Amino acid sequence: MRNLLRFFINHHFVILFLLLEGIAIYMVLTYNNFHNASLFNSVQELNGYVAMKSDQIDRYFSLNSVNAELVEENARLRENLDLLAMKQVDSLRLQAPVEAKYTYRVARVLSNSVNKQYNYITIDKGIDDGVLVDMAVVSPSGVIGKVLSVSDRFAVVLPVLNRQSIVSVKFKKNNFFGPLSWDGSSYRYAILNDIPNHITPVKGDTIVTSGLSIVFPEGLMVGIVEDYELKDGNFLKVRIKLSNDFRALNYVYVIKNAFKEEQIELENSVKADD
Amino acid sequence: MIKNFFKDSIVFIILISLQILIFNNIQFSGLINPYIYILFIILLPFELAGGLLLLLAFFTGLTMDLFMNTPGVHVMACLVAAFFRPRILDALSPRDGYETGSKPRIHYYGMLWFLKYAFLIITIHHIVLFYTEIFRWSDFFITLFRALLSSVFTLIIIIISQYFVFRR
Repeated sequence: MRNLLRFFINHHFVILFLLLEGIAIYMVLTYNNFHNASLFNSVQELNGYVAMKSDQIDRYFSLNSVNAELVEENARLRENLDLLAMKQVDSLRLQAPVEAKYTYRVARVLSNSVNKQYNYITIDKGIDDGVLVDMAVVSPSGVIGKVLSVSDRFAVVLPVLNRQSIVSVKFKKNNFFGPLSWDGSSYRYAILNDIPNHITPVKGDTIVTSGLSIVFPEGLMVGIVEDYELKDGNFLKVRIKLSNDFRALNYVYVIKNAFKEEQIELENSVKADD
Repeated sequence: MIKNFFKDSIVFIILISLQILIFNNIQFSGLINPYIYILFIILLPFELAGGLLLLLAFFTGLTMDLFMNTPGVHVMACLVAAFFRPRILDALSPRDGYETGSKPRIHYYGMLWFLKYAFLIITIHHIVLFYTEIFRWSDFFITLFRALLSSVFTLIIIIISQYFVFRR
């Protein structure tokens, strides 16, 4: 017994090291549960506050690019408005006004990174503004990601540029779909897997969201095909040039799907019947 | 002792803030990510060697992890760096050992000594950090390159800081 005790005292440094390192490895391996931990949630509010303060200083330096972005989007929306006005003249009108399926909320990007393996974006809207987990986040030029966790005033977004992120996307031209993920190398490119090899992607093909997951509405711009290679014989690995410049995000939209609960409920009831 | 604790706490807060507010935003082509907060572990007094050193490293890493939304990555890197610190100090110790009351800084043991000491700690920390973050072997050499490049960059910033802030 005394020898054992002496062993512990003599080697307490190594033993403590292994113990603490074990905790760290456990944290790394249970990555997905990490964001549900209460410790993380309590820090998120502080984290968001720090990001907001530092953002207040450097937002002045990005005013020019924000303006340019907004003017550009205005022009595009005006164009769409004209198109809609034209269509209404010679098409049937709907009898009853339909409830909008998707509603948009604007949010400001407080902190953002592109050079890590696990990049996150903090935005300045939280539960108080009706932002909930798993809502889609887009910018004027395309898909950003989905809300990962929320606190009262802030939300953390899991962007496409995170090794954990998977977005269901499809080719606009022929509707073949596959999962879009990120390989952690360049912030301009993402990888589209599981495309059958009889499809021939052409450089410049448009990739949009598939609408197969509940998170993203169908047809949101994701990027264009850059190049592709054959993987394990049957499937293509397509490299996608993302339409968003993740380094230059200022404002984003959080999309709320009004019929999401209904859809989930329905899908669950079918699953329960099986 | 109390005075030192107070001083170290301020250094800790300043380093973590600098890391989060400034150095995390440095993005040179995605290759260079300096993690200067490791200076906290580098500057701890010589006497701090046992379990307390490891606990401090754990706490430092956890703080970074919480602010950067990374799971345990910084904890792991800081712990390994702290684990090797006493061994590195032993290996680099001058013939008569370290004087009591001296600190691991350029002012006491010279530029060359500090350069070796800081470089070893930073490199160990960065290599563990980058490999844990990427968590796969397929990009072995590009990760190594990123880790070493970032280490050199961190080292340069830390050496410069030694001449401006932590002179004594």
